[in-house]
Amino acid sequence: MKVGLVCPYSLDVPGGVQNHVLELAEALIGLGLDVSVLAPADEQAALPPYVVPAGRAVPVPYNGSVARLSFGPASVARVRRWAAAGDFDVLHVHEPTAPSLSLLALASAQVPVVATFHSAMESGSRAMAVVRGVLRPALERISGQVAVSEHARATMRRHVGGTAVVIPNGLWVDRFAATAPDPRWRGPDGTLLFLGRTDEPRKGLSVLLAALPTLVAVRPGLRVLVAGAGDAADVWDGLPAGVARSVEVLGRVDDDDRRSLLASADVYVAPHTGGESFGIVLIEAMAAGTAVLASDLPAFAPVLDGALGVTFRTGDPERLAAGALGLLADRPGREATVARAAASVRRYDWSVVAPQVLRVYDAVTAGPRRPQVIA
Amino acid sequence: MSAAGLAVALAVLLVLAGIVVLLSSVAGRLDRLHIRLATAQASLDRQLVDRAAATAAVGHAGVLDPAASVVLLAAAEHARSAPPVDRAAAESALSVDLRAVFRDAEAVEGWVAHPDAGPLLVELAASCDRVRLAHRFHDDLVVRTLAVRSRWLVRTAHLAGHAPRPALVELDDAAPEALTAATARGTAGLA
Repeated sequence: MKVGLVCPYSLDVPGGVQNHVLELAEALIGLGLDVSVLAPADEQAALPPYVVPAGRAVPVPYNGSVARLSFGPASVARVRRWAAAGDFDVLHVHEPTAPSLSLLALASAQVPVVATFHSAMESGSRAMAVVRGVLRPALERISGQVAVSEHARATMRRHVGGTAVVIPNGLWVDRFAATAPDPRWRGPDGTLLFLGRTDEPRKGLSVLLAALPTLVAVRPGLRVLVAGAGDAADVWDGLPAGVARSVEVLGRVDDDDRRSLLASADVYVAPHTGGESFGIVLIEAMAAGTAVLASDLPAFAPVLDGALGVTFRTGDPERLAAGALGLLADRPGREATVARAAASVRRYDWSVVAPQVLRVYDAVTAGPRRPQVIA
Repeated sequence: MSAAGLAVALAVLLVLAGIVVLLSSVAGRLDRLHIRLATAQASLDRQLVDRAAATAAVGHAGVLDPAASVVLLAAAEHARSAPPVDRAAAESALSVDLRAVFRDAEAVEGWVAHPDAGPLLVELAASCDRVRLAHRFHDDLVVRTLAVRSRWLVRTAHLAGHAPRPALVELDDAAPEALTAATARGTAGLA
């Protein structure tokens, strides 16, 4: 089966949707499918062989932040050339309401289309109402709708309509489980880890920083690692007094360091304040064997499933501190939680998730293709 | 009263009258500046509203590709619904989006030549230009008003009264050049 995957966001910057599309492509290739990925990306960039770069995306203000998107006649022409050359049995577009390649591929699709909805929007619904008329003819070409979480499915229902099957984001669990803790990252009184953009308020770094005085008062040797893109000077400016020596700002880290950090920390803290749809990083932490302490966002609840991590009231630094101190103090309890979580995340392994996606392809293309029996 | 005393009293009266005339003339000038400023603010507001409407009309025309149309519609809606404190940022974002969508001269010429989109694009280009002019005139009046308000006499005599202190509008109003060029050619051809 030939599958064309379309990613709307630029591969020149890291992101959840981009990661998902690339890993899904790998997983599908592993299942024996012929996969091509079209995505905005610099033609000169080092890319996997299955990626066709659609050229640099244009940074534009969209929905209140700056997004790198591909639109306009040149992008339309690229999408058509790629689709014609690929001769796909099924087209799988991601985030088709974003004004970029996925929408363009959908609008000119000649084969059955599967669409995956990633985001859960708390706001922006008025903007969706305004663009509905433009989106409708394109969205009507979708044969099968997929949402990455119940939360994303609810958003999709509200803005697009119709029904979707939920297939979660996947990850390669063993890549995380096999990563050994690195003593370099360990603190004498325990290690907390924050991952994510430091300059994006909804990632919640400020909530963690506000909890530090309480945390450091109880555990003076605590180490707090902050890894993610953003200006380090802004992080230092946001620090309460007297906690600076506990904090390390690492900036953007590559995938290997990310896994190593997750495997080494005692507690991964997810103080997000909103805008999350799935929480793949929580699952990565669970796969790496780290205890998870997360905001009680609706998107995180199904992932943590009650007993797989600890939650605190979103945006509340004192509850965060109490949760972290509880986890750090109770080593046996923490290890039991980690063991339960590590077993549970197997359901997100690509070996489980990719076949679910494949069955959706089968459903929209009228069944699996079996080798023809020659009489 | 002696003649000398009368002369002094007259002189004092004359000086007082002079001060009153000066104060009222400066106050009148300041008042006129504030009135023109209010008009300029209203004009800038209307030109921005018109530009957002013209942008949305192009987005709905169905001539641009759907992705570009969504960018325009979302930006126009964002500008239209922004609360006052975020208004200038949202309008500036619309300017950036317009330049991004209309960045390719060849594509823009094709759209302008399209019968369904051509007139809408001519209107959009004109409204971008009107925004730029209204913004410039507004800020020019702000500068002149602030210059008068900063005078010693005005500050001491509180001639500005309770009129709020005017401020420049931080607005990116740079036009989408390819659109300006293509529509200028189009209308020249019609004339």
